[in-house]
Amino acid sequence: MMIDYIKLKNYRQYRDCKINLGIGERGKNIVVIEGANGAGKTNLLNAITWCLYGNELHISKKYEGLPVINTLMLDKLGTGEKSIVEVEVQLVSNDKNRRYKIKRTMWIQKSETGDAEQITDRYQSNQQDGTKLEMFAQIGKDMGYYRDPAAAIQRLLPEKINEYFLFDGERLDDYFKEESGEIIKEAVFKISQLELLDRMVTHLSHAKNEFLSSSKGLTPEVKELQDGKIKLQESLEKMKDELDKLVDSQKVAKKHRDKLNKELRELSPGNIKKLAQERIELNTDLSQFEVNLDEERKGKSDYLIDITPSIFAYKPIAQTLQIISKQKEAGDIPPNYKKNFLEKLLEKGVCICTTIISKKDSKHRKSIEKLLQNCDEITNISGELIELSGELRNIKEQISGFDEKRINYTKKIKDLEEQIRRKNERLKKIEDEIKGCDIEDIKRKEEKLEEYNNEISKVDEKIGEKKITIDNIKLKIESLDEDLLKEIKKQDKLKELNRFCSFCDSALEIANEIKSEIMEETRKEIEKKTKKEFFDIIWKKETYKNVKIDDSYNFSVLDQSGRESIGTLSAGEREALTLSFIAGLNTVSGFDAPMVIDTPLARIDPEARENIAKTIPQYFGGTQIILLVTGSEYTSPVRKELLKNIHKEYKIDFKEFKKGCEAEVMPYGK
Amino acid sequence: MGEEIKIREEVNEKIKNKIESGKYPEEIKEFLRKMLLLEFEHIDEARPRIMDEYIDNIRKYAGKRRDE
Repeated sequence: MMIDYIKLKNYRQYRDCKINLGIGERGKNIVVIEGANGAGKTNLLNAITWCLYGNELHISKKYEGLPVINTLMLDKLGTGEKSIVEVEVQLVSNDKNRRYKIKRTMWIQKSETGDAEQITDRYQSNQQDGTKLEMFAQIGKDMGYYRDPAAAIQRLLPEKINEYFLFDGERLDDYFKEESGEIIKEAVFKISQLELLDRMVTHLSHAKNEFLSSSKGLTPEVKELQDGKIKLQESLEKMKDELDKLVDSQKVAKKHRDKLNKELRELSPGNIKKLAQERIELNTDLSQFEVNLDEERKGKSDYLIDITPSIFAYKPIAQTLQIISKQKEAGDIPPNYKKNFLEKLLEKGVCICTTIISKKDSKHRKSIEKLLQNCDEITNISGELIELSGELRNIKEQISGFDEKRINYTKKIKDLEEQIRRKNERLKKIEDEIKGCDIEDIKRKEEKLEEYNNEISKVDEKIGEKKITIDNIKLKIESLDEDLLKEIKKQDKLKELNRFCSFCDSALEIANEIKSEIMEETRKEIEKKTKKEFFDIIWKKETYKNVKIDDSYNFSVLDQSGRESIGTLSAGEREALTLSFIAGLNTVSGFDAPMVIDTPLARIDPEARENIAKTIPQYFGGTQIILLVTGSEYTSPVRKELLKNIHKEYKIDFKEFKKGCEAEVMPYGK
Repeated sequence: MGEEIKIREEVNEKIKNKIESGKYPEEIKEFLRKMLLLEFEHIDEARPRIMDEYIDNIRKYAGKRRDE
C-alpha cells in the first residue's frame, strides 16, 4: 500500500497544497520531504492521522491549543463567516488494483471574538467530532463507498499501531514500552482477522449453551447438572465482570502513569533535578567564595595599612642601616668598654693592670671614672642602635617582599572575583533554564507516579488471582458439560441434542486450533523476520546474539552472554529494532502500510546515521517510505546512500507572517 | 459514488487456507467457511445478532453429518 497523494486545504500551515507521493519506476520507493524545524513536517504526519482517525497524534506543544484552520485564512474571514479544513489521502495498493480515497472535512466559523469555532454541518457531518469522513474505493473494476468509513480505516490501517507505520523519530522512547506487547498482539489479531475466529468461538459456545439449556427439566439428573452449571455460570459472569473492572482500573492507572511519564519526560525532571542540585551547590560555593573574597580584600587592606608607613620610611631606614653598618665597621658599635666591667674595677679598687685604684684621688681611678661616665651614654645609644638595626632590617625585609605579597593578594582577589563571576553566570543560566519549572510539582508528580506503579502492580496480582479463579470455574463447567452430555447420551430422546452439542464441540475445537496455529505462526514469522532484518542492518553484529518476541509480543534483545539488552540499546539500535519489527509485521501479518518516518535520524549519532540511511531501503523491499527530514539530518552522505531509491524530493517552503504562517511543499531545487 | 462496498474477497487467506487444508470433516469445513463469512459481514458490529443463523446452521450441518 502506498500514499498516492495528500491534499490539504486550510490545514495548519498548509493553505492549499497537494503533495504527489507514490512509488517510482524500478523500485524507487523513497520520497523525501525536507523542512526546517517548525516548518511543517510533523504537521504532515498529523494531517494523515487527522484524516484517518480524527486525531492529531503527533501534535507539538507549539500547535496545541491553536485552531486546526490556517490562521491566515481565519484572519481573512469576517465575523460569522465559515470555511472548511479538509485533508484528503489517497491510498493505492502496490499492484494498483485497489484504490482508497479518504477525506475528512471540518467546518469552522469565525466567532465575534475572532476565534475559530468548529461547527457541525447538519446534513454532512457523520462523525461524533462533528467532522465528515468519507472513504471511497475502487477494487478492480468495482467502485463504491464504505458505509462505515472509520471501521474500514481501522481494518486497513489500525490506529492502535499507527506509530509503527507513522513513525516519529522523536518518540523512540515510546516504542517497546511495557504495554506495547498487548497493543501489538491486539493489532496483529485485528490485522490477521483472527478476531473473526474469536467471535466464531464465542458464538459457538453460546449456541452449545442454548442447546444444553433446552434440555433443562427433561430428567432429574439433567436438571441437577443444569442447575449446578447455571450457578457456576453466574459465578463465572460475576468473576468476569470483576476481572473487567480490574483490567479497566489498571488501564486507567496505566493511562495516568503514561501521562505522568510523558509530562515528566517533557519537564526532563532528571535534568531539572540536576540543575536544581547544581544551583544549591553554586549558591553554597558563592557564599563561601564571597566570604573568602572579603577576607582577602580585608587582608590586603590591613597589609597595605601596615606596610605603607614603612614604605614611606624606606629611604631613612636604608640610610640608618647604612650608618649603623658603617659604625660597626668602624668599631664604634658596640663600644670598647662595657659599663659593668668598669664599675667592677672601681668596686674592687684594682685595675686590670694591677694598679691600685682604691684611693679616690688616684689619677688612675679618675681616668676610669671618666671612662665610665662616657661609657654610659655610648652603651645606651649602641644598645638602641643594635636593637633598632634589627627592627629596621625586619622592616626592610618586609618592604622587599611587598611587591610579591601585593601581587599575591591581587591575584587571589582577582581569581575569586572571576570564580564568583563565572558561578553567577552559570547560576543565571540555570535560573533561565528552570524558570517556570516547579521543582515541587515534579516531586509531587514523581510521588504520584510511584503511587500509580504500586497500584498497577497490586491490581496485576488481583488480576492474576481472578484469572486463576475463572479458569477453575471454567474447568468445573467443562466437567459438568461432560457429565451433562453423558447423561443426555443415555436417553434416546436427547440423541439429536447430543449431536448438535458434539458438532459445536468439534467446530469449537477446530476454530480454536486454527486460531492458535495462526497466532503462533504469525508470531514466529514476525520474530524470524525481525531478527533477520535486525542482524542484517545492525552495525554492532558481535554485540547481540538473538532477538525474541514472546507470546505476549514483548521484545527481547539478548547479548552474547544471553543477557537482556533492550534497555541499553542506543537510539540508533532501538530505531533499527523498531524498523525491523515493522518490516516483519508488514511482511508476515498481511499488514500492508506505507511508512511515514518523521525525523528518522534526529536522535541518531552521525556514525549510525549513514548506517540507518543505507539500510532503510533494504528494510521494506517495495514498501513506500516517506521521510520527513531536517536539513541537518539530510546530509550529503545520507542523501548519497538513499539516492538510488529516491522517487521524489521535496522541500517545505515556510513563511511566517504577523498574523500566521503558510507552508508550501515544493519539488527539490525549485 | 457507486454502491456500498462489501468486501467479501478480503477475508484473510491464511484462515481460509487453514480450513481448506485441515483434515476436518467436510460438513464442519463447510460450516466454518459459511460462519467465517457471516462473521466478516458483521465485523463492524460490536454485538451482531447472528445467533439464530448459528443455531440453524448447526442443526443443518450436524444433520448432514448424521446423513453421511
